[in-house]
Amino acid sequence: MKRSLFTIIALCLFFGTIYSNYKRQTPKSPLDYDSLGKVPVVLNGRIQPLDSVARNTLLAINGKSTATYQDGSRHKPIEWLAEVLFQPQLAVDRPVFRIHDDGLRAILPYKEPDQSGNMIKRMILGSGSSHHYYSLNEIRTAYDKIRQDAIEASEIEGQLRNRYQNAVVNLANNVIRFYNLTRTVHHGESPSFVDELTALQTIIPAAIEETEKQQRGEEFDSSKLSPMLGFMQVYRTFESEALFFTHPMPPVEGEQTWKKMSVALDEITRDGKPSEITQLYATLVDSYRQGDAATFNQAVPQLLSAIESIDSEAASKAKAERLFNYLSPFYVSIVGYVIVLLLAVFSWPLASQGLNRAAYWTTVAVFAFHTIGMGFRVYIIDYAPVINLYSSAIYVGWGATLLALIIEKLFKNGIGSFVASVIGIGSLIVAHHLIDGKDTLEQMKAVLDSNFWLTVHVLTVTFGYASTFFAGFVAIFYVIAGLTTNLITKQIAKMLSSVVFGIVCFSTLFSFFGTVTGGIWADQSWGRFWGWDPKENGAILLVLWNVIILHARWGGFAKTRGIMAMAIFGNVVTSWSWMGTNMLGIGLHSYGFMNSAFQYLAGFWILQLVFILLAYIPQNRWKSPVNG
Amino acid sequence: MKPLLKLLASLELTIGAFVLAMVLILFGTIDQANLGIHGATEKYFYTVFVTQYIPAIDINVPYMPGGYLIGFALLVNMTAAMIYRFRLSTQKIGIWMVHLGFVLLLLGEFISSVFQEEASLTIDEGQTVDFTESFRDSELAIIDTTYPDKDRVYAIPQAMLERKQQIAIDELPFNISVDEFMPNSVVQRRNESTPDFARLANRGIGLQAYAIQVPETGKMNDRNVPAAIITLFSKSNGQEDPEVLGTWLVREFIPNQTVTYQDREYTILMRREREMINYAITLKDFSHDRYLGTNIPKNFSSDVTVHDKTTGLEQDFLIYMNNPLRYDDLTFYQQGFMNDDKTTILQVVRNPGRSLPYISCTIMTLGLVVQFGLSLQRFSKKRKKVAA
Repeated sequence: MKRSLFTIIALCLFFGTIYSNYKRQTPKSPLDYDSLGKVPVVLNGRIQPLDSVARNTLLAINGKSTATYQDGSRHKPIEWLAEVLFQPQLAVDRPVFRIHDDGLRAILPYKEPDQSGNMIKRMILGSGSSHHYYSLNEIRTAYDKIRQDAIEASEIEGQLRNRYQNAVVNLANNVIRFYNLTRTVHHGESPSFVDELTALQTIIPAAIEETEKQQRGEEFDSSKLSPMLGFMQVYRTFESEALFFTHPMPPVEGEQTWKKMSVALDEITRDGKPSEITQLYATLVDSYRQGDAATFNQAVPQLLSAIESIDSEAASKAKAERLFNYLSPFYVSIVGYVIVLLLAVFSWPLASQGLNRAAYWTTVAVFAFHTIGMGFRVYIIDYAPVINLYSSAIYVGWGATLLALIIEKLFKNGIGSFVASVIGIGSLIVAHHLIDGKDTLEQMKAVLDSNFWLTVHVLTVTFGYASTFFAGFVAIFYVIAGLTTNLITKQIAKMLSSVVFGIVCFSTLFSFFGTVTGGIWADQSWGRFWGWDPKENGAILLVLWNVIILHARWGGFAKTRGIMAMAIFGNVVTSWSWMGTNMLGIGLHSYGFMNSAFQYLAGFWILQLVFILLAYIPQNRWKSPVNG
Repeated sequence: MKPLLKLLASLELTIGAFVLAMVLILFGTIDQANLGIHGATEKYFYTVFVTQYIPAIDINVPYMPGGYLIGFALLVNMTAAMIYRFRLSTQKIGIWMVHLGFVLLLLGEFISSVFQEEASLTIDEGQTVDFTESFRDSELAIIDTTYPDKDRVYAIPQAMLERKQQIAIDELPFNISVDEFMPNSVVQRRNESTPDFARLANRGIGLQAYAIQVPETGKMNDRNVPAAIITLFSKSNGQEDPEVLGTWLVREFIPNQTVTYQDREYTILMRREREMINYAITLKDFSHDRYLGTNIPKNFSSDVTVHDKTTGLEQDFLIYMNNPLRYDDLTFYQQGFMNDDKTTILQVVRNPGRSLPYISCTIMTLGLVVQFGLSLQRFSKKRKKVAA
C-alpha cells in the first residue's frame, strides 16, 4: 500500500482533472443547453452537433472558448449560439468580434480601454484587451469600408497581404458567417415562428386551390395567392444565407441527404403542413424568445429523437462529438503530462521508487486518455487518426509516449516518463496553436480520401517523426542532465546511448517505410513514384539523416556524445520535414499553410544548435561522471 | 589498386555522399519557390553538376555536385564495399538486402529521370480522342486541308523550332524558315507605337498583334506558351530566287491561319506537341461529387470506352482518384476537369522503370526488418545475461 501511495494520489489527481473539466462545460442556466448541444446539423460537409458549431464559430471570431457580453458576464459557446440562432436582435449587440489590428480598429467607433477594477492590478497587467472586442452593430457603422477593403485585399494572394489586409478579410468573413448564422434557423421577419407556421397552414389550402385553377386556365382569385407568394419570396432569399443544414431526409437508395430550414419551409407551400422537425425548431425559437424554459426543455429532446428517427447514425455521431468536446481529451492530457513531468523530476533527487512508479502509471493513464481522444476523432469522422497537421501533432505526442512506455518498462528509471511528458506537452501545445480558428475535423479532398493509404503511409511516416523526436529529446536529456546534475553515471550513459541508437534504427525503418509507401501512393494516384515534392524531399532528408547516424556509429566516427549530438540535430531535420516544408507554400502536400509560425520554428532550431554546442563542453566540466 | 578500392569502399565516402545529398535536396526544395518543381528538379537532381550562369564570363560555373554525380558516387561506393568489405554470412543477410535494394532504387530513379514521359489527355463528354498532348513542348503543325475528307498533318517539334533553322519537308511545296522563337510569350495589340522589331509579321494575325518574349516558368500550374515568327518561301531549283509567301506570327491560343499556295490550302498553327496512340478513348460521362454544402471535391471520375484500333476490341473503364487506367504502355490518371464538369483532364504517363521502385523498396524494407530484428534479438539476449 505504501509503495503505491503516490501512484494512487497521482491517478486521483488526474481523474479529478478529467471530471472537473467535464463538469465545467455545462452552462449554468434554466435552459437545457446540454441537450441542445447534441442536436446534429450538417456544416462544412459533415455532421456535427450544435455544440461544435458554437465552439468552432466562437473560436474563429472571438479567439476564445467563452463569450464575454457587454455587461461583463461570461457565456459558454452554446449559450451564445442559441441567442444568435433564435434571437439575433440581442446577439448583434454582443461584443464578440475580436479585432487586434490597430488600423482596423481606427475605422471603427473608438472604445475606451477598460478603466474599471483595481488600479494596481491594471498597472501590472495592463488595461486588458476588452476594447479589442466589437459587436456586429458597432462594426456595421463602418461595414461599407470594411467590405470594400476586404474585396480588394482578397484579390491579393494570401502570403502577400499585409497585416491590415489579413485582418479585414478575416473580419469580413466572420461578419458574413455571423450574419448567416442569424439567418439559418429563422429569417427573423416575423416575431413568432410558431404563429407564422400556423398562418401558413391556414392560407396554403386555398392558395393551392387557386394555383390549380390558374394552371387549368380558369379564373382565379389572386388575393388568396399573394400571401403565400410573399412567404415563398422570403424563404427563397434566405436559402443561400443559411450556414448549415437542419433537416435530415429519409435515405434514398442508401444516400442520406440533408436540407436547409428555408427549403423545408418552402416545401410547406407544397405539402400543406410543416414537418415535425420544422415545428420543433419553431417551438424552440418562440420559447427561447419568451424565456419559457419548460417548453424549451421539452422541445429539445423531442427534436433530438425526431432527427434520430430519420438519421440515427448522425444522432449518435453528434452525441459522441459533444461528449468529445466536453471531455476535451487533448487539453486534459496536457495537464496529465505536467503531473508526469513533476513526478519524474522529483523522483530523481529523492531517489524515490514510489514517485517513479507513480510517474509510470500516470503516463499509462494519460496515454490511455490521449488514445481515447484519438479514438473519438476516428469514430466521428471515419478517417484514420492523422488527416491534417493538427492531428499529426497529436499523433506525434501519442507515438512518443508509446515509445516512452516501452523504454520505461525496460529500464524503470523515470527517464522514459520524463521525455514522454516533455514531448506530450510540447506536441499538444503545438497542436492547440495549429487549430487557428478552423474546424480540425475536416473532410478529405478526393485525392487524399483513401483510408488505406492514410493509415499505411501517413501513420508510419508520422510515427517516424515521433520516434526521431523521442531519440532527440533523450539526447537533450543526456546533455542537460549530464551538465547540471550528477544523475548520468557511466551505466546510465550507456543505457541512454543504446536507447538512442535503438530508436534511431526504429525510426529509420518507419520513416523509410513511410516514405516508400508515400511513393507508392503517389504512383497509384499521380503516376510518378517520386516527384521531388517538398514534403517528399523532407521525408527523404529524415531517412538520410537517420542512415548517416547509423553509418557514423558503425564506422566508429561517433561515440556516445557524437551520437547524442546527431540525434539532437535529428530534431531540426524532423521539424523541417514536418512543419518547415509546409511553410514553403508550394507542392502537393502544402495543406495547412502557416506563415506566422516560421519564427517559432527558427527558434526551435536555434535551441537545438545550442544543445549541440553544450554537448561539446569538455566532459570533465560536466557534473555527471559520464565516463565513470 | 588496393588503397583506391579501400577509399571507394569507405564509410567516409558513404557519409560524405549522404551529407551532400541532404544539402542538395534542401537547396533543391527551397529553390522550388522560384523555379517550380520541374525547374528545380532539372537544375539540382537530374544533372551531374549544379551550375550557376555568370554573365560576366558567359559560362555556367559548377558549384555543387548534382543528383546524378552523388547517385553515381553512392553506386560505386556500395559496389566497392560489397566486393571489399561485406562478408557473406547469414548474420549479414539484412545488410545485403538493404544495400542491393538501394542499388536497384538508384537505378530505378535514374531510368525514370531519363525515360519517364508525361502528357495529358483532354476529352469533352461524348468526344473521342486518339492522341496525347505534351505538358511542356509545343509543335508547329502545317495541315494540308485541300481534301475535305482527309487532312495531312506535318508537325515540326519544338526542338527544331528552337534551333531557328530552315526546315524543308519533301511533301510540302514550300520551305519554312524560323526567324524567331520565344520559349514563353505574351501577345499584345499592334498599333502605331509598336516598335519596329515587333513588325516582322506581314500576314494573318501578325498584322494586328505581336508577341513579346517573357521568362520561362517552371511553376506547377503554369505553362509556357511559345511563339514563333516564320517565313514561308517556295522551293527554288537553284536558278531563280525563291518566291516569298509571307511572314506569320504563330502561337497557341490565337486563331488558325490559312495559306493558299499552288491550289492547295494549308492551315498553320502552333499547338501542344501531340503523340498518336493506337487506340481511341471516348468519354461517356464525367462525374464530380462535392461534400454537402461545400466546394470540397468528394470524388471525381471519368467513365470511358477504349476502342483498340488494331484488334477492334472495345472496353469500358472507370477512371477515378487512386484508380488509374493502365493500357498498353501508358497509364491514365484522373487529374482534373474543366468546362463546368463536362470535360475531363487525364494525366498520361509512360515509365518503363515503373516496377523497379516497388521491387527495390520491398527488398530494402524486408532487409531493414531482418537487420533490426537481429539487433533486437542480440540486445534482449544481452539484457537476459545481465539480469542473470
